[in-house]
Amino acid sequence: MANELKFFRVKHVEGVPEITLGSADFVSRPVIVLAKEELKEYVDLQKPLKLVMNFRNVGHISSEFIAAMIDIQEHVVGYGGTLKISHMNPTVQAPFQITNLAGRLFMIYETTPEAIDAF
Amino acid sequence: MAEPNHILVVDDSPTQLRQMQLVLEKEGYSVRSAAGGKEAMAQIAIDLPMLVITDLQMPEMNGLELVAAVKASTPSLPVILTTSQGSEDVAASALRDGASSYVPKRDMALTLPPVVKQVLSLYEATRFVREVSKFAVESSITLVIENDEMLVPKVIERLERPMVELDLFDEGERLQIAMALDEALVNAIVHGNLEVSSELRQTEDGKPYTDLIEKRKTESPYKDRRVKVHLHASCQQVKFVICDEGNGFDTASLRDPTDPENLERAGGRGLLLINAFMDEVIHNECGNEITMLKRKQFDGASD
Repeated sequence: MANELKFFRVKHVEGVPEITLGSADFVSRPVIVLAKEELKEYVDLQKPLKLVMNFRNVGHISSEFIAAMIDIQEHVVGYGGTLKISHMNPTVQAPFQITNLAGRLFMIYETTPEAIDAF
Repeated sequence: MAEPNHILVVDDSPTQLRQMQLVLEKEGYSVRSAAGGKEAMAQIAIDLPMLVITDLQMPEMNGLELVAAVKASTPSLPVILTTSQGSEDVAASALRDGASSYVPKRDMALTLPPVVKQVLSLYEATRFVREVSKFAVESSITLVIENDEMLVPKVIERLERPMVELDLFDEGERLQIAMALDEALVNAIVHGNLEVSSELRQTEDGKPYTDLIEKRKTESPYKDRRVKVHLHASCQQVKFVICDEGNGFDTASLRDPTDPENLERAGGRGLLLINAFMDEVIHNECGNEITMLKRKQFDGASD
């Protein structure tokens, strides 16, 4: 599965899948739509109970990407799972904070081990 | 300041450095070298080269980080990446981030000279513009764009140019402005001209939303509408006016997206981000024109 993914890389850290987003700027609708589909497909297949999304490579997002993240988060929760976010830079984190999503819908941690410890 | 006349090559491998140096000196270029990204940045600060050629994989500051640092400090300075086999994806990403070109290491002697010549001829062609931009105190541009979201990143890139020339904002502020512009332009195209509501994004995984956008791009009257973007920048501020030809909307009708009840709903977040990233945001009465203002923060500014 990991080799087929276009927008993400998946590895396991302490048994928890960590999805690292590619270095694309998630502002273009076609990119966002494809990335969302790919991730939802991964969630459908793996049904992870714990999932960390690593934003290390993401430098730029849009509100449409935030909407996609909400969709993905709901998808994970739909399978009884929990999604946490790590390595989000301040520029990308700002829109999540401004829209009141950080700390409410999305739990954001500095590092993946911190995110995993918080499960 | 004297016009740059040398090429700076950056690699942590002395052998690779020497190889690049030989290839370029054979072509008649004056070449200096740095053993890493940090050393390169220090040299650039002291004596600006006309071109940087850097290895992708280096300890401390790698080639991608060097591209980012150069683009932040000296946006007009071209950077060519040299890549090992298998790192083409990373190189492609570097191109998106501002690198001018990349050259595989395996064919260095053959492919480096023509790429350098091409990049330098472009650099030379824009030299006059760069020299004059030092004297710029004001800049205006008006663009009229079709309903194609794929144009938005290019439009933003073009709008960023006067802000760089006038040294208005740092990279972080420019990123925030870019985000606000992206939201405003996509709003104007999708919700304004094409009259597609963001509420549709919550229906059937958003497919009706994307389908309607594509359909209306080909239908009158939607397809004939244009978005007009006007920028006026001075040394103190930048003002953007973005106007679509749709029916407009009532900004007061939007739900508060930060209200816990609306957190998971689509819509309203773009406008919230625009308001957060800009200093002043004004909508016309009809709701099809947005004016956004961002002021330069001078040292000691209270707000």
